[in-house]
Amino acid sequence: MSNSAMLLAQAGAEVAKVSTGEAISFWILAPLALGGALGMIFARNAVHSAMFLVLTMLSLGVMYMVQQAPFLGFVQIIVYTGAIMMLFLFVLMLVGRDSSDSVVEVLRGQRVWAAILGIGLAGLLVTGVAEALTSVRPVGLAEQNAGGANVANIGRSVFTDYLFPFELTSALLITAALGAMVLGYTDKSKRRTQRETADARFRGEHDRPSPLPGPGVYATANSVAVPALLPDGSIAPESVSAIIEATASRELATDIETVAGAIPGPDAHALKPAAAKEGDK
Amino acid sequence: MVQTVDYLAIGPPLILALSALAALFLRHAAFVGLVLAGAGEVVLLTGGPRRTFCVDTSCSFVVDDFTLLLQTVMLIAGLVVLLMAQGEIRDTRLPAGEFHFLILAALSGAMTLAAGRDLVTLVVSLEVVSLPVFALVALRRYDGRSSEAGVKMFLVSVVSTAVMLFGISLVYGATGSLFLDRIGAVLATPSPLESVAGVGVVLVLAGFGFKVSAVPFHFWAPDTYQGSPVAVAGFLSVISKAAGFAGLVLVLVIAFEPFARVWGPLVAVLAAVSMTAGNLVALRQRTAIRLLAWSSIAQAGYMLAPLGAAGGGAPLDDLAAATIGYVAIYALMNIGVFATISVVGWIGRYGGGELDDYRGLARTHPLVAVALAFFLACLAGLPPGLAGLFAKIVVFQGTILGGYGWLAVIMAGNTVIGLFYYLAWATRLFAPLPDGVRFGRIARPVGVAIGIAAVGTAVMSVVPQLVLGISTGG
Amino acid sequence: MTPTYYLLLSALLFTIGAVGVLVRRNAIVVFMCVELMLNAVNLTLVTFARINGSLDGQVMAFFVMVVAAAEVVVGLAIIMSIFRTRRTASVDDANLLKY
Repeated sequence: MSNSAMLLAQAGAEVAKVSTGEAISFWILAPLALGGALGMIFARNAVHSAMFLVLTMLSLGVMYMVQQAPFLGFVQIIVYTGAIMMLFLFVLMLVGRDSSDSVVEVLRGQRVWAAILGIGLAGLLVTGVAEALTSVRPVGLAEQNAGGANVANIGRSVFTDYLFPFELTSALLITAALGAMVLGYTDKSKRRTQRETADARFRGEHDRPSPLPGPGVYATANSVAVPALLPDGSIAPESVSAIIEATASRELATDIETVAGAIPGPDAHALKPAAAKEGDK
Repeated sequence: MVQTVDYLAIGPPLILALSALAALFLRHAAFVGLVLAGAGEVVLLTGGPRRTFCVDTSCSFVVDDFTLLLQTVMLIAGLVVLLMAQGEIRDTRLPAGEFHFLILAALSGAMTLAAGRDLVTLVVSLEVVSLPVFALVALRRYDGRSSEAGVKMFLVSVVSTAVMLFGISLVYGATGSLFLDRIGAVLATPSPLESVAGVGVVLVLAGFGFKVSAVPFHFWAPDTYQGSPVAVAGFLSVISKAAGFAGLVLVLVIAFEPFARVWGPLVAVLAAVSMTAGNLVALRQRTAIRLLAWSSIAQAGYMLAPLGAAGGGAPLDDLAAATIGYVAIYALMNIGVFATISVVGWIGRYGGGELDDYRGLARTHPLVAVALAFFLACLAGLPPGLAGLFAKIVVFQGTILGGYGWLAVIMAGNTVIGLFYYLAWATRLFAPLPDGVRFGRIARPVGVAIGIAAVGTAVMSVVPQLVLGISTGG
Repeated sequence: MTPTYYLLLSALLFTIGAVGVLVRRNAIVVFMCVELMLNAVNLTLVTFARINGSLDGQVMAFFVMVVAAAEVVVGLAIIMSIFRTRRTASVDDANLLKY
């Protein structure tokens, strides 16, 4: 059967409007879905992003049911929202909750370019889709869904027309499960003792033999933004958090200038930019 | 109506899948499986084309010349990958059973992709190829670089899948079918939904562009090759790329043929930019595996070039045959290079080493050095690397046939640039051995791997007509 | 309103997801933006199934959901393994591999 011939025949016909019930549900659900999507990308807290995505997915699930896809609507709510988003929340709670995004941009103008790209992509997609479809009359799925036969007809389609991809997806799921098992496996049988760990540290297997210096140690102030000092008086670069470092080095530069050389002799409490002579050990 | 299943047609991927499961428990099940699948391929080679899982006249799984060529090349490359991985598995204590399972699962997905003829099968098999590779790249769990490479590759890959799926949904909307031949038939008739299909075609092209690492979708490749085990990098560079090209050619030539004037110029631009960027950046690389990554990006540009000439009105079958011929020859050349670099590493570890680490290889391991020089000459397209020379000739012919002279000129320029870094590497092999440098013994599996790749490339140097001139059956 | 409005909605959701992928730094949130893009794909498929009058679109949407589920499984496993070695899930901190 030729879909394009049928569509061409209807091209001159009046565009079919949907029932008012469906229109009402669309105008309630679509802003919810869009709001959830925007909330997801703008929320600073990752768990809030996940909850906004759940809102979007639930509204999409109801939209599927309104659009004569009841099976997909239920699967969306039960499987996609109920299983996959719960898995996301589990992993967020375990891993990503603490690492909220900083506002410091890594690439300059990244947000501006992303916004421009987004507007361009939206424009391309919307114009491509909208102008061609103003003359199309939807056929609707009334006969496939008659008497609750939507599930049966989808089942028939999956097991007869699309049997091979279906078997392939079962192979995909087994492979995914095994891949995840391999990645998640931890070998708890061999734990290194404290002596072995110390030996490894001094043999150079890690970045540094000693723990990182905490902020504010041996400095003149007790704040997270003040760096620690090394034995020769210079600043320990790893002692300030990466997020704060941008401000600390700028602001401290003037302090260093004013304090450097003011106190005679080596003083571990002075803020010196670099060691000119040996300081206190 | 329930479909009939032709088990001989789906035999090779099915055997690989079953042996993947067996490889979790039995030691040599992977190699037995590869040999059996190869035997299945030989049986299929002697018969005619087979079609199975059909709905009326459109079939989901078709075994024709195109499929057989790609499946054979993938099997040989897969055998080389498994052989060269043996040493690395043992020495870096990777989980052997799971490693074999993941490689064989990805390989069976790649073989299925070469045979799929409807969009659902193509998408699902592309996922079956990709998911095990994510796990393989991140397999060295306690190495930060490995996990980082895995995350980068994963995020880029899922974004590309989403883009491709959106394109597929638009194409489905415009044509009403998911089978490639029916889509081609519907797109050939004029309809008011052409712009929808056009946007869909562009998005599908973008999605496949990620998989074949064409510029500007290439940025995951160098870091991923460097962070993963060398065998996995070889798999990515050869089998994953061949699967991506198989899918791309099938979709563009069968389904989107009526839109050749839309996607042709886009593919031409992608090809030109990939070649140029890949070659120019490869000139600056000092690490062997990053050089190979950028060289793979440039080679993807050469492979895309004939398809880029599709807008000129040349018969698509010839252009597709040029691309697939190059893919087949490239697969064996490149996997040979990876097999050879797996014997050189930083001190005590694997990873391919820096280019200067290869100086003097010819003094202690003459055969390996000659093999590597042969592979590099093939990649550059110089005699005595006749296989590579024939491959380059074929893609040049295809591009000129389509009337895209400017693309052929860019390709010629890039071939010259490529000569610089391939030859610079090859000459290091024959330099005098620096003091105090010792190359270790070559383990037997790696030697066999290099031998297989060398024999395959040599065969294609002598009888290239085996792999050239094969297009999709349509 | 016509069913075309659903397509416009899905195009907007897809774009929002794409912008989110480019802007967000937490790997898990980037992955959630990809899930949003896949949901937009599903909405497009269901709408086109209704417009074309065939269930193929719904079947394809079903397969897209399965593919998304498999990706989520492996992806979250990779992100957990990077957390174990790096103690952070931010994509900006992944800088061991330089240019």
